[in-house]
Amino acid sequence: MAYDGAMLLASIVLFIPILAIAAILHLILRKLRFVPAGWAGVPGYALVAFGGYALLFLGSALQMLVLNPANLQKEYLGRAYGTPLALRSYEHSGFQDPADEWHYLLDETDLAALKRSCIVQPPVAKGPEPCVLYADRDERWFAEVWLEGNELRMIDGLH
Amino acid sequence: MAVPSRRSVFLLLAAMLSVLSVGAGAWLFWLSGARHLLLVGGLMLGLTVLTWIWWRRLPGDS
Repeated sequence: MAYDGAMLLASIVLFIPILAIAAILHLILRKLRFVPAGWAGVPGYALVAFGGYALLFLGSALQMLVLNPANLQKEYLGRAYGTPLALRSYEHSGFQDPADEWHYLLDETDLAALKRSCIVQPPVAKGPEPCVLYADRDERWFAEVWLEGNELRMIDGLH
Repeated sequence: MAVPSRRSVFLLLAAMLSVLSVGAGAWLFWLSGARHLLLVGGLMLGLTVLTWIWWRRLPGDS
């Protein structure tokens, strides 16, 4: 739900620029006769404006679900084990200190390869503990990557 | 083969973008419960259909 809130804020901030760019594009499209003149052109303007918002949201989704997690996995693990098709859950939280959490379902080969590089090995007697693959933080930022069951989980954000 | 009118090209592009948004929005909703992309895609798809109904009554532009 916080992701909806963040995009609502972005929508409000970009309301005037998107409407202005849509107006310019609409004028060009009307001149080129892709959109009719007069009242019939009004839904054309609305479609261009909706298109602007759709592109904004699609770009954000691409960034948050595909590009950012792939880059972070490469940085923390050496390569991107979790692919977009293996993504099972995503959560964006926080407002001034935003954080993102991704859960990926891994195949047996990747799971076995990653289990060999746990920072904290699960003790046999105490029951299951998460296998932490990466953990770091400073005064402002934190990140952690761990295995839970057959899932690779990664969190990255500010605190 | 008939050449599509410019309005049809515009509406086709709008329909493609809205279908892409609905699809990606459904994926995003399944992953995180976020509705914004699904909502915008759905509204845009509905508006595209209504605009197509309106514009096909107008005199041709091809």
